[in-house]
Amino acid sequence: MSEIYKLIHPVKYFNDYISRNVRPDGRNFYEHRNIKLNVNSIQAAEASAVVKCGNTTVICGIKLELATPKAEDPDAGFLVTNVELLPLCSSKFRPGPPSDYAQVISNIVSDIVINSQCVDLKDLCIISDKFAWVLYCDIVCIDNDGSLVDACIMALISSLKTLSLPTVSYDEETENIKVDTKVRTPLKEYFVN
Amino acid sequence: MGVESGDTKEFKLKPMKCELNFLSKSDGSAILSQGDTVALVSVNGPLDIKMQSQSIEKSTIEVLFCTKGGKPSVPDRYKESIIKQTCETAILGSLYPRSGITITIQELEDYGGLVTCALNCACLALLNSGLAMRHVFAAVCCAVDELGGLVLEPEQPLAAAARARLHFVFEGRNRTLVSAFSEGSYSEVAYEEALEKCRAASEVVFTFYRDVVRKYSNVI
Repeated sequence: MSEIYKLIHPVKYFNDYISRNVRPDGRNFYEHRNIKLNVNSIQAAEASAVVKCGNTTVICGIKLELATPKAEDPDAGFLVTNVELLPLCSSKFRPGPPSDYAQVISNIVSDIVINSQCVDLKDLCIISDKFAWVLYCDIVCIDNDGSLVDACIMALISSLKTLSLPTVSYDEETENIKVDTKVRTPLKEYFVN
Repeated sequence: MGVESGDTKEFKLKPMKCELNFLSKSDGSAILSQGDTVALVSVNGPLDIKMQSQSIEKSTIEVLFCTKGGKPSVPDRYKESIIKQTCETAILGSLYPRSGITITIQELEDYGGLVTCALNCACLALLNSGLAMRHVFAAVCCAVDELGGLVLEPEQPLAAAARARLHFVFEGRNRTLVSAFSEGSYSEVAYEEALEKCRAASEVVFTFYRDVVRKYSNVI
């Protein structure tokens, strides 16, 4: 009954709840939804996290690759974030290239992480002007129930907190690179309290 | 019909020049230069669109942002969504149900403040097109430098080096805030200060709009 009412008179439906200072799902205006967080769930990724914020479910996986730093910034590594909104998360999205909405969310999440400077790109540099880490952060939404940016940031920061970088040894004469995945150093995070 | 505004009063806003009805085949068009930054906007609507894109209660607004480089990229989609949301509140879409309104923005020169220039130009193009609007809007941008000082309408090198860039869009009736978007890190105090400074600076833009309309609607 309330489903039909919600479709026909959406404004009145919401106003009925808001006038009583409560949301349609029973929460107060200042109440959060239940948050569930699970890290290191994806073995194939270097670091991963799954966040469930109410019904919104977002998975983040981080992969590492080596690359040559840019000429204008030889001491900096790269942090590449990408958000994908699969067709299964909501009926609004269709299969195919990323929708405009997905690109906007991707841009917002990327801006937040880079502007907050929580990861110093200089920490990702191994040898100046030769090798640096590239962090490919892939964020995928599998259930869209609102507050996507919040959930994406939660998943991304949790993964970054559990990420540890392998040690790299570089022989200058033979130009040989050896990556030791067993000996790891955790990635340094910069958070302002 | 072109109009010049070199008057910057107490706020150092860049001189604005514009010409309405610049394109011959659009329903509305405007070219605006703020300092050296130039944007060209074309508005077409109400148009007939595909059944799937139609909305039964209002018109569907589509924004296309074209850079000088040509290749579309992810930051362009973000700018499009900001401009679309600002225009959606401004246009009385419920008067044109099941139709589409297309706003195309072409960047011609970028010497800082391109998004605000594009927003102001879009407002002028919408005025020129004759679409029903709830209010006019004006965009002003501000940069927060390392020491926390505010600079209105920064040049490109200063804007790139700044700690944060804040953009605000105000509406014409009560100068209330319509959209705000920012990049970089800044304190709450800096935000409040920038908001008030930009609000006062938007007077210059609204006066400019009034001068423009006065010039070509000379029966009013």
